[in-house]
Amino acid sequence: METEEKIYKGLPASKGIAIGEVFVYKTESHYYDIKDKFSDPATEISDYESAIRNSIKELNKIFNLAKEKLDDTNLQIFDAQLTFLYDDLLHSKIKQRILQENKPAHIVFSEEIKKLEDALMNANDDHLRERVNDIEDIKNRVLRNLNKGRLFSKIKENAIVVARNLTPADTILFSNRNLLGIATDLGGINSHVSIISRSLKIPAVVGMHDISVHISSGDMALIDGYKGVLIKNPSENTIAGYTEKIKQNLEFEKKLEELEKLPSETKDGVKINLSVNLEFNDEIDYVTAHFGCDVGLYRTEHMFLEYGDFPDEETQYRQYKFLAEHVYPGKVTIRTFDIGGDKILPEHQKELNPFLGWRGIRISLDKEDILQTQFKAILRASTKGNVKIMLPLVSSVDEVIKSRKILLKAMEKLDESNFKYDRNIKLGIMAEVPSVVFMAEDFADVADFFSIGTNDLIQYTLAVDRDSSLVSHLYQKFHPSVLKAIKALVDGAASKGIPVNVCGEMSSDPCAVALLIGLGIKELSVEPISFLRIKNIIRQISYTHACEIAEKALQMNTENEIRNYLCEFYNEIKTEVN
Amino acid sequence: MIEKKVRIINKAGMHTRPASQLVKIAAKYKADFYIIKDGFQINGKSIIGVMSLAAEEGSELTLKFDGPDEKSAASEIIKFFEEGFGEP
Repeated sequence: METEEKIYKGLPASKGIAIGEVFVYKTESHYYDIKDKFSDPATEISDYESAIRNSIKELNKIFNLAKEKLDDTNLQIFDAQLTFLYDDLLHSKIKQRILQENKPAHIVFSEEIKKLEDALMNANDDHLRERVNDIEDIKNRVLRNLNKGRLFSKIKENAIVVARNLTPADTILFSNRNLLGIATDLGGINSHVSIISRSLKIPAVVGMHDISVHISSGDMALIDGYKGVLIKNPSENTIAGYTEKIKQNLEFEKKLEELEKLPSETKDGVKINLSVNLEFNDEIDYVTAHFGCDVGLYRTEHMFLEYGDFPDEETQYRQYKFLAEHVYPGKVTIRTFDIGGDKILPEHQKELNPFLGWRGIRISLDKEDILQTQFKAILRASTKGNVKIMLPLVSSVDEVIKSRKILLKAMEKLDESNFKYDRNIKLGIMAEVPSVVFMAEDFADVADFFSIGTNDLIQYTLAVDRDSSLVSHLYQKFHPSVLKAIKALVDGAASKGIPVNVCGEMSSDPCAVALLIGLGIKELSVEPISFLRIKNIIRQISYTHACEIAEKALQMNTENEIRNYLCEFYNEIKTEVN
Repeated sequence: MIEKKVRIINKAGMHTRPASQLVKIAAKYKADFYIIKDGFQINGKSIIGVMSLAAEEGSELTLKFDGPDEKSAASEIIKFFEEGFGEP
């Protein structure tokens, strides 16, 4: 085994430093080849049974959600796939073979499916040969579920997870296993794995190209989430240096903690409502105890990923009520499901451009009952008057009007059952599609507030996929057009007297704080990990100065110029705690 | 026990969709249901069995029904074959 220290570079996705053993998480495609150790027939059989159950659950979920989106042929294929999963003769044969031949479930299952595939491939008829695809799909689904269940039990606690890529569901799965850190080949600093690791406060480095090949499970590694590097086999010197760095960071954090009880206002006394973005309920206690702030954005997608389906009204209600009660007297803005079609649609129906496709409010309006259920659950949690609703990915005024109608219907339904709720609940929108920028005044007529989602606003304004490593350098948050877009949204909101906040990644960027305040933003919603850092910056700038900075930046026409200007200003104040 | 020879008449043959429908029809009945093709017999209540026959247009199959409700099972299933599984 090589023990030489080696440094690999990537993108800093989530701050923090971790030292520990590596666990390489191999995703589906190359996981099939792994020769698993055979445990014992009883375990193999129960693994197989639960893989079949999970596959049935998955298919039913897809079937129900995609029913109206699929043509008849595809629906029948789904239905046929379900018939496979209910084939008891197949199951009993597989179980019998596991027992008699002492072979692992995935091998026996693959062999049985292979027999069928061979039979079809030998047919003289093209039609039948093509059916191999249907079978391939069902085979992959079962094998994936078989592996997933085992994988989870195999994930080492307290390890650094290295993977080609992690889906949001993977990341959430891992979060229950005490991860030390994450390193991935793919992904940008704004991809989901990065956002989730920041919210879970797990150090992460992404975009490492092929780290998953260069490192193996059991290797020692160090992850530096500040610089974006992974050090394989760190030497004693390196570890000592980092131990010192960890110490310094802790001291700085400690100094920052003194800010907890101080107000979030500029040097010249302008109040800035600093709130947090939340994704998981277990973060709430920490936030209320230490920050005592509003929740500017509560994402609800994680429920979909956890339950593998849209949760029912009661399940949602319990989560929202818990949240609203804990945050009270603070306010909480709950965003309706912001799920992409890529999470729901089957492989062969996937859209070419999921970011321009069926996602966010588009799904919610096509599936009115899902939106109405979510509205009812949110309304029921609003009795203390501290809850607001926010719609994601709005691109037309119609969508707001339709949503409001559904909200009224939800209220009527609750009235029928004598439920109490806040009749004046605010319904706002995420401002993240350029059409909202161009029509800011019109949107301000129908929405109660704007929340600027900078990640999507930047990607849609600049036509850059933030996850594509080929163009990610063109994803420029200080692009002059982005500044102008924010300005237009602030002006549009002001013309109708509605509030506007920024809840995207940009609000957690220290260099952006003065700019945003200067542009007229009075509310910033940040990731909890950045809360005190951002508060510290707010307290060190004056509002008048911020306005001058924003005005100057608006005159500039390259991102480079703007970035240098803003970061220079930040560097002057960054090490002080005030 | 009932035995009956049938022919596959639809263009696409016994592919995924008709196989799945056939299995579902067979499951409604108590009677055992077997299909024999080229001397090879499979259980007609198992989709993986039915599909492994790789029965294309023109194939000749023997259907076997055995059980208390074999008559009704045979009549519904034979009809399904005669209608070309509702396909061209």
